[in-house]
Amino acid sequence: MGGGWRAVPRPATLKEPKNTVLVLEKELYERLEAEAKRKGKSVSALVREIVKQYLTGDASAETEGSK
Amino acid sequence: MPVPRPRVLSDSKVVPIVFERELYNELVKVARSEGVSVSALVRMLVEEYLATKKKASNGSQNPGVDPVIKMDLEDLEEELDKLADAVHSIEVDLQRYGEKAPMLNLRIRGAENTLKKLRAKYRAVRGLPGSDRVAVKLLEVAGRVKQLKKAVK
Repeated sequence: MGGGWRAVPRPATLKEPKNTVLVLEKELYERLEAEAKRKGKSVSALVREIVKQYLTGDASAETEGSK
Repeated sequence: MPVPRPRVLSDSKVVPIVFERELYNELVKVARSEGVSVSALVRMLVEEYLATKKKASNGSQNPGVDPVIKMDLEDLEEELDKLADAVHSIEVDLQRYGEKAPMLNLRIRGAENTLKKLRAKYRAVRGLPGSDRVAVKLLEVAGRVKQLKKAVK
């Protein structure tokens, strides 16, 4: 027993994740990335927030924290 | 010799995204009902979101103040006029093509969401001189959106 540091996986952000890919125009992606950076979030988190806002019709659906 | 499918976007970037399964299923359902791909639907939502953000930040003079509060009545009225135009185009399409009009549900849902945002913006300027005119327009557009929803149900 070394008693050393043992790597633990990062806790999951989402309970039931579904991986997918989106094809965005480069220019749109860059604008999205800049907005995500400004908000201190990942692009993925920002897209989730936008989709959630749309589906719930709630402009205050900014539930996820920073990266 | 097989020919590759022509590209939809000229200069594109593939972005990996992780959705909650429930959210993803809902998104797929909406995209299917509108006859568009999930990518196309998300592109549209992202574009709309960024356009709204840009407009809000242009309207704010002081970054410490809520941009919604700073947005003046003229901007709000302009946005309402745009929404009224969009609603008019849905009404025309509905009359022309019936329920088979392209992306009907998506457009009505978009109009509803925009209306919701404009209502929130109106609350911030309510009581200011000239806000009565905006209130009348807001009510008129809201009535038309309600009629559209009824017609599609």
